[in-house]
Amino acid sequence: MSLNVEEIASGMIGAAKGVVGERWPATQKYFESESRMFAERLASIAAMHAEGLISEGRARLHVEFQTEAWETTLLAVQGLNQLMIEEALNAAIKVIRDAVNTSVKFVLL
Amino acid sequence: MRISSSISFQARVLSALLALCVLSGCASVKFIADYDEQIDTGTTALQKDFETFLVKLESSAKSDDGKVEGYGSNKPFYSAAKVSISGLRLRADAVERNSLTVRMFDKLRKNLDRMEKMHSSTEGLTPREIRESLRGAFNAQFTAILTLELAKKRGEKPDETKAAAAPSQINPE
Repeated sequence: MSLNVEEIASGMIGAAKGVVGERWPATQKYFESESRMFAERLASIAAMHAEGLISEGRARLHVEFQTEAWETTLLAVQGLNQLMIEEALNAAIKVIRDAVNTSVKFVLL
Repeated sequence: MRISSSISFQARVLSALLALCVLSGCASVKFIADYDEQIDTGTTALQKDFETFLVKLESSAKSDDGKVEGYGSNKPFYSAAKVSISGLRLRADAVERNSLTVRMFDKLRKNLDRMEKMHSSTEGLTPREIRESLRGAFNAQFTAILTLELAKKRGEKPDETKAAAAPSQINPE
């Protein structure tokens, strides 16, 4: 049994990188899009207060409301990142599992 | 020099992954719960209920800066929505590695409480507050819950078109 450690390591890193490269752009766009809308809504709250439509206390309540929603978005981003890392690790594990099993010529791992 | 440091880095990564492989028995690792269709359909239905309620409130005002229909006649919506959120949260909490989804439902509930506080106050609510603040925030929360739930299906490619035009900006008018 001989395993080319360098080759396996490169394969594992390549597999993980491939997952990140595929998954991250969508998460980034989602984050950027929600960030922009969060900022727009905060600007609207400031405008409603400036125009006298809502009181200072109400404006604060709206900001709390928006912050809660923003934190919900951040939890989703955190989850998407965890899923991405999970998938990247599994891709890397598959490389080493395949390499070892191929080398020993039976399903060891 | 660069080659040797690259090899050293690769060796370290390989060692870490080997250790992970051994610890996991070389089985797949899982950090987050699986997709739950009932969370998906329940959240989608709840979003529809919220939107229907917001549209109804908006149309009840005589002008854009006027007040929407009072809290008293709309109290049943708040009670029903709390029960729905509680049911979805309970289901999410019954599954391992689902704390993010549970926390997202908690945050949705907090915002429902805030809206109820606004609506029941002497200041009341205006259609503009709904249009420029409340709807967008609620939709951002529903989008967040659904985005993560759908991602839990795993193996499906992310929809960048959807991500680029998140539905929290959609205004039904």
